[in-house]
Amino acid sequence: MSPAPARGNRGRSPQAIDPLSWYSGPLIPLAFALLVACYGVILGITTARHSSSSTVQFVATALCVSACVLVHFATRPKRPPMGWLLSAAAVAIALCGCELSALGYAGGGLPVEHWWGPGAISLTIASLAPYLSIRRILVLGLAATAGVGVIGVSLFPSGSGPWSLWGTIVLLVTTPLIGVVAGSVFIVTVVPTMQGLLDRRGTRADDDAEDHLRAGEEASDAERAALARLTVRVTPFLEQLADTGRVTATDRAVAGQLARRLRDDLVFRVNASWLDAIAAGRPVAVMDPEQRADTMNHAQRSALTGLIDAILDAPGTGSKALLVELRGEENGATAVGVSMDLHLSEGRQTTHLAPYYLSLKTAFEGLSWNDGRLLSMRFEMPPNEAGD
Amino acid sequence: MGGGVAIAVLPRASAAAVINRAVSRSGWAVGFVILMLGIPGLLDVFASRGLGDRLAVPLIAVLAMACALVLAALHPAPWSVALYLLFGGACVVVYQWAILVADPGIQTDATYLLNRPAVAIVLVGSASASALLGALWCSLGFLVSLSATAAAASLAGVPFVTGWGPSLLFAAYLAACLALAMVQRSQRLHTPDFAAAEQRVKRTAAQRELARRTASVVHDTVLNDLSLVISAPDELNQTTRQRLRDDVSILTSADWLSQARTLTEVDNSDAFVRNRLAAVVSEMQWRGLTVHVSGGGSATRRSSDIAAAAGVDAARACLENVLAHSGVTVAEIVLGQEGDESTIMVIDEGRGFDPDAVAADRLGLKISVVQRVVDVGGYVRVWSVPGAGTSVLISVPVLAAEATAAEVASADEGGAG
Repeated sequence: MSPAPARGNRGRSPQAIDPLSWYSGPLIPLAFALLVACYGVILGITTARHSSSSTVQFVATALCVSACVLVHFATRPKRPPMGWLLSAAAVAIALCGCELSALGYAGGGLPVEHWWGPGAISLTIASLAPYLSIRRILVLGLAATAGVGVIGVSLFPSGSGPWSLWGTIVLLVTTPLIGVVAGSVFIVTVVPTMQGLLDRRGTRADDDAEDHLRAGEEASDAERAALARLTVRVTPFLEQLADTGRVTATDRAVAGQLARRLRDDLVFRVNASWLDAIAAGRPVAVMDPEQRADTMNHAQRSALTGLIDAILDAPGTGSKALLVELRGEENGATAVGVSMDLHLSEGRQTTHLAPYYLSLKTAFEGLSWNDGRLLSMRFEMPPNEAGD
Repeated sequence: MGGGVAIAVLPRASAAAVINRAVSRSGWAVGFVILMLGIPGLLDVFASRGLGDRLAVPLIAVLAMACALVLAALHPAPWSVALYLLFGGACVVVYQWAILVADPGIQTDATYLLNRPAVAIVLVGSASASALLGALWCSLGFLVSLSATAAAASLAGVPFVTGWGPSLLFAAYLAACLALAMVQRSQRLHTPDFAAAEQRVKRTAAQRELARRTASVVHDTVLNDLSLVISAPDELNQTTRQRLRDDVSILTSADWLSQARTLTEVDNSDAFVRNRLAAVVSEMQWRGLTVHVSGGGSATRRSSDIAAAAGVDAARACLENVLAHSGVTVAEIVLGQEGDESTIMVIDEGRGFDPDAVAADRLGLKISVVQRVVDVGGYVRVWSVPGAGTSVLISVPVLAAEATAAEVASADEGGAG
């Protein structure tokens, strides 16, 4: 499996290629919403004498702000990737705000360069940039730019101040176009660069002999200890028989007992999956009757290991047990469920689990995260994607 | 395991650097667009005011600044960005001075036109991958913008007016840089250590591989020895006693836990295989199983020592199964070489079994034969029918084939003919 879905870069957004960069912190769309609010309110106040009503400008500003807020909620970690509908809705809402603002300024003699509407559209488009592909940002951005031009012509039918009609139109579309250019350059820089880094990272992992050696040395030490435990009773028993050369009835009985125990230990060790090894000694119950865990590839194993660690480290887990269940689906896929009787607030979920959830997104399909009393995540390994 | 496919998450520092550079590039692109889309406005206003003959200087200043911007963007380094700031600042002064001298009224009628280059220079971008340094460069650009505007106003003898543009764009760019810096700082604190998870998974994989190897060895040595003891006579012969000592020695030394996994060519793998097989056959004969060995190739095949040893050990495990379960005292080993494979077939005419009905907890075939061979890149095929004997084909990969002298001679003759 490749680290990321095999799709052309043109169809991918910065968020899709590196979800971890966009899940937390000051929240980019809300930062843009704040900028729109400041911009709209300040210019709304300073140009109040040109507007039929200041309230209209504030309502229009609120509409543009709500467009960015929509982007914020549509791009939360648990939401699916932002589609055409929601992104177009955000742009449409901002255009409605722009139109309302234009209606408020109609006939008021507002200098075109003092109209805040195009700036709000530009900021809305920029707020979408991390979450859209280059194709979408261009289509929506250019449509919004055209929309601003049309609204502007209705507001300034014969130009504004020193500007002719065409000069006015150029001036009006420049601002939203800035948002389109900024967003587009951002996307075409981030997506291929990060994809290149991820590709190199995958290749490096293949050849990372040092890691392999270190893992091997650690494993070798652990295995020597395990072997010593396995054979601690058998070895002196056989040595004694080799030395004396005599076998008694008691020796045969002991040999039978030792053989049964040794055999049970070997069966347990051989049948244990990597997930059993990760769960060993921790409050994790693994239900994997078909031993499907071993079909996970390295990325999937790492992502699931990270999630298990994170859930067990989350505040409030205490002595609760985490259940990891793997079972086959009718289509040959493997459904993986991770659940625990644990409720985390939205903030704590974001802080503690969202990074792991997002990393799972890069490795599995059909990821879902159910809220409620029971913390529960479910995802799928497609059929024929054996890692071993 | 499924290759070394790494988890598809970049280290936060790398991701942050990419994003910060993308923000810088966006700033440069926006600056360029502002300069270029300012030109139609310049033409419009100058044409409407009959100032066509005064157009050249501001136009050249804008174009020169755009060229400098492109050069700085193509070769982003602190010195090139600093040079762009200096040169761009000079262009802003020339541009504004030329316009103000041509028509001072433009300062109040079309401030938007006047401050286009002053707006563009705020988006100076950054040669650094740090968001905070980006904010610093942007602040520097804003200072240059204000200074150049003040200088132009002073030279033209008009009041200092900047317009909203530079301040608004500065605020937006600064906010973006600071927001990114905060996001990246937050992520550095909260993003999990995926490298540690990956290392842990690698360690677990290595441990499981060794656990399988251990199980194979323990199964083939002490577990078989214990079975031997259960059915042994009261007096053990010297061969059996030596075998017990050897097996204990194998376990206590645990040299086979070594992690040396590189394929090393051996000069005479065929002899290596045959010698080890001979030892196994001899041991089996001591324990009551007569083994006939036949077959072999005409070329010297080179398997890795690990692969060859795995093949022989798997054959030995098969013979143990024959001894323990088949009910016959004769077995046959057929050596073969085909293409890239070296094969060992173990045949008996004993009880046989149903391969599909083997319980999951039966270790002999699963780990001592199949897993052991699969681990070195080979495969195992089992044909068995209850009552009709068992054949097990063990195939291990070879590194290279060298034709024997006879084959070379034969090929030469064919070529000559």
